[in-house]
Amino acid sequence: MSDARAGNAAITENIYYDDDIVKKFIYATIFWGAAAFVVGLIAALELAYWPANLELPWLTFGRIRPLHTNAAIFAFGGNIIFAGIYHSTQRLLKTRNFSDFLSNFHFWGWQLIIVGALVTLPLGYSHGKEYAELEWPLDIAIAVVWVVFAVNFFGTIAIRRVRHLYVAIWFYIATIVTVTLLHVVNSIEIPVAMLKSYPVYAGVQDALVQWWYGHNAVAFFLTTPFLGLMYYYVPKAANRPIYSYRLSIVHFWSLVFIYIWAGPHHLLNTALPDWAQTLGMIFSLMLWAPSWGGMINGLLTLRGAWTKLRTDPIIKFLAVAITFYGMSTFEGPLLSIKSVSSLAHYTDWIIGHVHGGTLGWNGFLTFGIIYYLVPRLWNTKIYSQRMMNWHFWIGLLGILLYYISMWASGITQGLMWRAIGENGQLVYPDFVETVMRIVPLYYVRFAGGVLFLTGFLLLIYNVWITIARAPRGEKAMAVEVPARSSDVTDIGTGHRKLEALSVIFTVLLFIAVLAGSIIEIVPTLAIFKYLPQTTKTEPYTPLELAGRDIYIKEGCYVCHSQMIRKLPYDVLRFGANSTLEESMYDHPFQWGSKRTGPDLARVGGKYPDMWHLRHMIDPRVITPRSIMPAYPWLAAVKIDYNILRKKLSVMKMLGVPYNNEDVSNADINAEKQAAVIYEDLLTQDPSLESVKDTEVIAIIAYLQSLGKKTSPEGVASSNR
Amino acid sequence: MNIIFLTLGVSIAIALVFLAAFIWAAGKGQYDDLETPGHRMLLDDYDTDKKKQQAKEETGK
Amino acid sequence: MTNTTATRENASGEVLPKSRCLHCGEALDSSNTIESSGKLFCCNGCRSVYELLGALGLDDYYSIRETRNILKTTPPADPASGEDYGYLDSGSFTDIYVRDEKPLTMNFYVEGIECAACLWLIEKIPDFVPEIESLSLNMSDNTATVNFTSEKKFSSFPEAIKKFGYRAHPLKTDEDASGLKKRENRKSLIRLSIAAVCAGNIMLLSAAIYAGAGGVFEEQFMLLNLVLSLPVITYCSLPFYKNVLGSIRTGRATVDIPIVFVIFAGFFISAYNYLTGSPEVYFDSISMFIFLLLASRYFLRTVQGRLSDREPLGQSLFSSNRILVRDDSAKQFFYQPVESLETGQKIKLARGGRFPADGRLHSQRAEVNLSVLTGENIPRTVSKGEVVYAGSILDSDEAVLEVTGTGGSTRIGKILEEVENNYRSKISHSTYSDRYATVFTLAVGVIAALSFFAVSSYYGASEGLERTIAFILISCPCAFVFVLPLSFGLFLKSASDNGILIKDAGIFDKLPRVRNIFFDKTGTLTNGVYRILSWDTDSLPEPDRRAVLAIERESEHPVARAIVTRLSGEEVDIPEVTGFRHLYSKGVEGSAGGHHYSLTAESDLSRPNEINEIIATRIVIRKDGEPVSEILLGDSLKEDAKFVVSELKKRGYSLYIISGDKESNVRQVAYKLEIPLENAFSEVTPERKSEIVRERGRSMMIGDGLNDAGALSSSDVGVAIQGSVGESMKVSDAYILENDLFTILNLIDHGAVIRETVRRNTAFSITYNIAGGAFALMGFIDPLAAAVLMPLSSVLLIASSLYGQNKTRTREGAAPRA
Repeated sequence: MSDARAGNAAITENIYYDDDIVKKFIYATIFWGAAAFVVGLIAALELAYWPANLELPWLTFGRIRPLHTNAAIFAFGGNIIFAGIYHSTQRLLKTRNFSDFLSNFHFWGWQLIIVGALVTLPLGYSHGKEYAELEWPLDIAIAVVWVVFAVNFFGTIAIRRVRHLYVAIWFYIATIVTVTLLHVVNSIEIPVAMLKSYPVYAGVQDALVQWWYGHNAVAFFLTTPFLGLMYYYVPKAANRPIYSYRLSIVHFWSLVFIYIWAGPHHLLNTALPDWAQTLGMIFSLMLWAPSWGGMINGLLTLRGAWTKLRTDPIIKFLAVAITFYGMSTFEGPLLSIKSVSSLAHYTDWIIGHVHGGTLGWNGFLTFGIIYYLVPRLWNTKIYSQRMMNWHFWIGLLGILLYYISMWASGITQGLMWRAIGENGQLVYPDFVETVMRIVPLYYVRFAGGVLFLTGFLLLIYNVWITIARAPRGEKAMAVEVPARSSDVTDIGTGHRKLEALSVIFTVLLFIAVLAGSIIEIVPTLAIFKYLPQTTKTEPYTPLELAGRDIYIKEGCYVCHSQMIRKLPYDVLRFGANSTLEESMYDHPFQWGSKRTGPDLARVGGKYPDMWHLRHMIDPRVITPRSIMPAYPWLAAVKIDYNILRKKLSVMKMLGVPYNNEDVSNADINAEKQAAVIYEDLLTQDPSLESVKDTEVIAIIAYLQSLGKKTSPEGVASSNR
Repeated sequence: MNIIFLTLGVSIAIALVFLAAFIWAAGKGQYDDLETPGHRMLLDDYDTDKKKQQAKEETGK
Repeated sequence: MTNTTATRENASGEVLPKSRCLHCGEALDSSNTIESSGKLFCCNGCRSVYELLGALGLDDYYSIRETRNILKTTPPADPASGEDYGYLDSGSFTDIYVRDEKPLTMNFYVEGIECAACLWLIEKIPDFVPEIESLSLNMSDNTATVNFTSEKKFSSFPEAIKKFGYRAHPLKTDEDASGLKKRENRKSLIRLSIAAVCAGNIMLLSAAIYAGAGGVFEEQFMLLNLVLSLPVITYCSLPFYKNVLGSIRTGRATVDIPIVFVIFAGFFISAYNYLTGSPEVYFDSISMFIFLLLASRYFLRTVQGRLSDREPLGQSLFSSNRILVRDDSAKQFFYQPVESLETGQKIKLARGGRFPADGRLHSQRAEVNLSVLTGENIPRTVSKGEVVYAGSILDSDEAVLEVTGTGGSTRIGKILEEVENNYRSKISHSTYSDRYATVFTLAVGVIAALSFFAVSSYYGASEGLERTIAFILISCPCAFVFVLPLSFGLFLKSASDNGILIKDAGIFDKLPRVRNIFFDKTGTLTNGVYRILSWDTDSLPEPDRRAVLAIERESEHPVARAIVTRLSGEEVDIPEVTGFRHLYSKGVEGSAGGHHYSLTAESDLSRPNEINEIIATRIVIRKDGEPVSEILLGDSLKEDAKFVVSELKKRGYSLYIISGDKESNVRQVAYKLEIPLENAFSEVTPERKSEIVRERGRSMMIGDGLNDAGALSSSDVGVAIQGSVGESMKVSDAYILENDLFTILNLIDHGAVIRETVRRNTAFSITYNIAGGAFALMGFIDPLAAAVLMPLSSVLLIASSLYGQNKTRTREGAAPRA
């Protein structure tokens, strides 16, 4: 054949794909995957058995949970996305990546960011916004690397040799554009120190921005890119064309159009205006159609390859992944129905839902892709099919254990929370009862995690040996592609024009998503304009603010909500439902999304300072069966008074009503207030000199202020 | 109030932009043929894989 | 699985399949097996393709194909046969085909595309055909866009793929509709997307309002809705406006009239209400309605479009576009485009060529097949000076013709012209939905007027207006008008799954009214193959057989050829023939091996014969004047002809045969199928055929030949069956992919079921509209109710159509074809 081609050099040319970058990202995926799973396992264990944190501050649940989520989503997920995109795009567009330098910059930049996260998060440098905890220097780094990625990707599109953009490419485009926007909008913050900053939004605005981001992090980081990968690797692995290409196009456009709106469903039954909640709910429900369209399309692609489902582990992984995609996208809209949410929100059901998606859909799809790519990239055969099968079954079992235990736990606890007896009183007034009931399930969940990790270790070993035994030092294969001179890629119209247009298109799409986001957020920025201004809200005192930052640092928000919903049993248990005013000066908001511990919105004044002190140093002194970790070091570390002036000035800048004296006297006022609390404690227990000026004082001040800031009285006293 | 005016302009922007996206694609004929791409992607690195195979066989093993 | 692995090994030639042809996968038996260097094939075509692929290192084709689980493919036409494309290269054709100078582009329709393997194979062609720079294949309409190098060797592509067993037809720049269709398609797609985005946002904002967004939000969202609905009622709705204008000009009501009315009323009233701050605002309903309407119509169009893409090219009359013309000055023949033929020119044809023009025969004698006019394959002998009609096929060695009429002035040309006219007038008949619309519009108009006065006399004018508008909006047959095309689309699909390609959804409207069904004979009721039905050769001693063979070899007549093929294998020491003579239109005679033989057709056919046989000719062999043997030649009925005909009779249709063939043959068929003889018309000219069909009315015509085209187009429902000539397919409403009659029953069933469904939908939408309208007049309907009701009714209707469609599927138990 080659000789036949010789006469025809003008028609085709030989190029080399850049597969090294793909290999690098595969390595990274596997490495960080292991890290993420291990951390997750530790976190899971700590929930079942708190001393697992070895009383090390940087190992407490509040600090490693953010590490787990970030590692899983951005390190494990991110790297496989990049690997897949760089691999498939080159082949779909028949060209080498736009720039090897940018590719490598992208790779190393991303790994550095991950390392940064690995260091800062356990040390407690955090925004206190879920999945966006990283502090401002890392935020900037992410933005830069992401833009580099975008340039590299669109550059590749611009130099492509194939006119048609395969549907996968569209999904990649949507991902790149949207994530840029999400990240930027959600990370607008004012630095206070090298590793401390306050977001510009407060209260409900921050909540909306955060959950618009949070939801779309799932939508555009864990869904669209993986759908793109699905549309490439499932047909490849099954070696049959996608069931309906037409449908896949429809799938893309409908998904992109609806997804961006669905954010508010994370705030159902909260203080958010009802119509905004309903809107979020409606659009979440509308997601049903396109998501299932995509799932069916993926599954039917395997139609006719069912035999392979028994013989080929890769197909197994992919099929199960798609199935889980279907389950999660069914469960998601279900959970965003107000009444369902009232039961499931704040419970482990949500955790189960999320992991069904990540372990099942993202995880298994990733494994399938790795098993598909490694033999091809290293030009060899996979070391052991049996091991792949074992991985599949063990992993699947692990997911099921996890899913089911969290389901049970979530529904159990949800029902206990809402149980009201004839006397109109809560059946389980004592929160810890509801926790005790589910602790056994936490062990089951841990077991599930162990299995999933075991399966992954099999993958590591299998891949390791495969690569080790791969033939060394053979140079990459040249690929024969249509020469750019020839016009096959773009019959009729000229290239330049086309590229110009595709760039314009991208810009427009960017604006579109930006617009879509702004229209969702902006009205709420003005929301206070339309609130009855009958109440008055005090800003936090400097000491309370210091305490609040410690609250954030220790990641208390991952277990404690500060949002009492408009539901009778929430009100019975925690007091009058939260109002928008109460959090109007909260940069960032701390409404939280999970109640492993009780809600704290009205904890202020509920217990004496001494109670809090003891409880902080060892919760079990107060609540024998509590699973909350002990925070002895809070009573050792001194408060940093000096930074408070800076902090208040930033807050003032963000519109919190401090006057200049407040700012300039911040440190003095803080010390005064701290002294008062300290004296009071000392009179009750003289042995407490050591706690003078320590963080525990600040956090007590903060906790005692919760729900007390908004007058008229009665709001706060109602829970007495 | 000015915020509302912003949202108003913005939402029209969305409409326009999603159209731009689609009109570009449709107008460029990206969606004229919704059969072949599904098949063509299966062949994109077929020849390479093939050559790798041959290369291996030649190197014996 | 085993099977496929077997074929894989075949590709590399290690193992031999016992059972299958290496190329096409045809099952092999002793009769059809060809062996070459230890490999087995079903025919030479397959062998040569296989060997060629091997030689070019393209045998991956087989492994790719196998991964698609495609084990059988259509065996290639023998490369030797088929037209030669040399003419494409002579400069005089470029303007007919070349659509783009830079790069040099020509489009081809490619037959035989099966799967990715074909894609791979064909797109490899530039690798080894230097004259082709690049090409891209479009599998959705089986066209290849080919860029040639400056040598302009356009034949290189069709020649190249002919070697692989595909057939390529160059698409003339004017006849290639796909380009135009694409532009159409893109336009409506864009319209659709605009409507989608606007309607989507409007829905979002309205949802917010319904959900209780009050105060500033409500005001602004309303305004936003107003602005967003502008593009919807302007650009997106243009098609409706166009149609309405058209219908006003032609004075024929269309369903778009109420639509446009609703759009206008809905929009302007809503705008007015918005400005006056009253709550009846319908922006969401209106825009959603328009979107759904566009969507459903787009769906119908794409389905129809995809079907017409699947429609195979019939072997068109003038498919070959060049003809040898004598240049008297140069005293030689040269190629010239048919288009440029002039009367008086002398043209030369080879055997099997079609006469591109009417003319007088210039050669001494020729066998001419007039099937184009008679539908019969038995050639007539024409001698010098007699007239030959365009379209008839030369059945003897090359002949020269003096052109007397060309193009439109030929007899065929005239027929085709008339046919086209019939067809055009036919498809522009008003459709069901249009008739519905007419009635509906009147009704609504009247009621609206009355109720306006009625209501306003009680509650005052403004209230009256309010309610009347609400009434009009609610009673708009929205759901109906967009569900109708939807259900039609679904039915076209299911029909095509059953092997029926339907051009125009209107057919479902006419089918149920059919009472008279007309069959063409040859090729429709019969197989249309003229062959030896019975000849007891063994009773004839060997020397005589050789003698007969020797004599018949002298003749060109198809009877002679049939006999020769039957006797092939006896070709050992053939005796010398002396005194060979044609006994015109009777037979031949001559002496061989010392005896005198004559083979002549006898008129008397009265002889019992096989149930399906239609005897056309009876040849008696006389040896020295003594009859020694007889041969029966003729055609035979299709297997299912009898069943289908009786089935149709049961259903109370009256059946007819109209044929250009001799009375005797037609009578035989009628007799065998128990069709009353007065309904069997024989020796009918094409022109007469259409007359007969028109006279009877409420007719369905089933045919294949060009001589049926007229009848097909002038019948209410024209059905062309597999193997029809392009002209007939063009003017028929349905095309049957199977070479059987059974599918006719299928078609009729579909007609019945969809009518049922449409009736149901109509009934529903009428009740819905009346009820809704009444409520509106009583003032119960507020925007919210309207917003809920509209989509609700649509969903119900869609469900009902889907239900109906499933019924057809189960009825035929047909699985969709890949």
